[in-house]
Amino acid sequence: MSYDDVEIEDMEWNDEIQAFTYPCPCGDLFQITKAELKIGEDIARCPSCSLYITVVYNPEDFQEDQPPQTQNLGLAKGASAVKVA
Amino acid sequence: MDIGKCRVREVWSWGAGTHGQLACGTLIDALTPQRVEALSDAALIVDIACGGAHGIAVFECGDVATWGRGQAGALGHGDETTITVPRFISSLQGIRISHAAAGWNHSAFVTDNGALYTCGDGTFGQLGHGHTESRLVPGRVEHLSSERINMVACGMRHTLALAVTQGSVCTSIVYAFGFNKRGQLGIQMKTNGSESKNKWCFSCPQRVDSLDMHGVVSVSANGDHSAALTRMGDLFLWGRGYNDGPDSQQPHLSHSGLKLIQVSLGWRHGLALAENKVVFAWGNNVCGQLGISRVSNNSERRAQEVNVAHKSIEQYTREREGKDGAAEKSQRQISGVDFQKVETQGMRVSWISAGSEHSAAVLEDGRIMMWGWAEHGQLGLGSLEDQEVPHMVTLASTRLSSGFFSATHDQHASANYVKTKVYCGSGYTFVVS
Repeated sequence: MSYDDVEIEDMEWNDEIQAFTYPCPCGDLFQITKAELKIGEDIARCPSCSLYITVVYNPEDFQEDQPPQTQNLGLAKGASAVKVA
Repeated sequence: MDIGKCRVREVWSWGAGTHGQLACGTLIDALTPQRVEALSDAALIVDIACGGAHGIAVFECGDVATWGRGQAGALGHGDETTITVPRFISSLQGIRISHAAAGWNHSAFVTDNGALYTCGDGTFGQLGHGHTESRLVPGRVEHLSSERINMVACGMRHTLALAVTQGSVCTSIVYAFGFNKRGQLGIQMKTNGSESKNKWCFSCPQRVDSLDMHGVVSVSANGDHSAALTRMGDLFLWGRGYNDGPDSQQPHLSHSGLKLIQVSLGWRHGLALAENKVVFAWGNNVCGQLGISRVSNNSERRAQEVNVAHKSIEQYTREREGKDGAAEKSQRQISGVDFQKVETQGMRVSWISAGSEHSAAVLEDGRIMMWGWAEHGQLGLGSLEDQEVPHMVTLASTRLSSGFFSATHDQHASANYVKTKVYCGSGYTFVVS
């Protein structure tokens, strides 16, 4: 059974693993790639446990003729850490 | 510290460990309790906080150590490195910390004079610094510098801070900041007014003013849920709905019928400890995290259930003021949260903690019971099987066998003595005894 339904806008883009992610209750991350979204996959799995979530999104947003939107759907992540001494 | 006279603590951890969150120098899960050597027999620990995959220990001297996943600066050491053994936060040296909280990837620290510091992931405004950048070292939340903060709680993407004013009348104010899409901040506005993807994010602390007059004494947060406990022992819940119920943008009274003294939230369930030492649970029970037997006789269970009145604060206040008729009262009871009595085999409980999908209770005699999700061994029972009723966890204490503990315990059986406590993170568990 799907752990949760999560809108793509609530997932975060992770540059390191090149996937949209969302926190998993085990401490790891549910993950789904743009390639998976493009073929209509809506299950994001956690690599560390048996849980998965259902990703709510519009498949049209991930077709190749509309690439600009995809970058903005998830909250950008990673580059924002600022060192404050 | 003179070990001959002062208490020595033992710290134990188990469950998910692939990010170093068990503080034992490893990157693997542990299915049974393992002694955390780096934190045992050291200076006295007064508080522990367990987040998504990192932990915080607060020592009696005011120092703070962190360990686990360092993503976005959650550990406060100036980088994003993951570490498997606790390390003191050097930038907080000289600042006496008395309490801490850990969210998914952020951390919050309260000083003994009421200042609030935060670090880690700030993407959703959950650090309270007025922007959505992350911080690699703790920074003071300047927006609350005129307040005396005495408690903080971190959810997945939000933070609650409790300010207390001690004047002729002791009052309290709850502040909330971070992500508000599920109503977890408990404020009037749902969005910050912008049309951007950040519209759900409040990066400056917002006053949860509907709680102002209720004498809140503690706050709790986890996942997209929030809770506050009042001096009267009443529980207010807000944020994401339980069991697919509607979200509550405003705090709602969730009445157990008993005076409650502690509350702890998971990602889909909650636990509350009543003054009579009985534990109540509500929410999702897919993993057995409510601690009630699903095969037990339904009518018997119903007899144990306490129906919960779920009302808005205005309704509650009107009732308290005595302007409400009985018929009207019953109409105003909104279903959603049903408290169920956790089956602790009749034993009295002194402390509770909810992980993301598992639960723990410390009995009055110091023994620990656990139930719920076990896929990473977070119940400490040596098994990966979920448990729907509480099970006793065995700690192989070296101290108990040496006889040292009983001697010092008798000498210090006073307010000075801190009882065994359990702290649940997302998929792991810590015990200080």
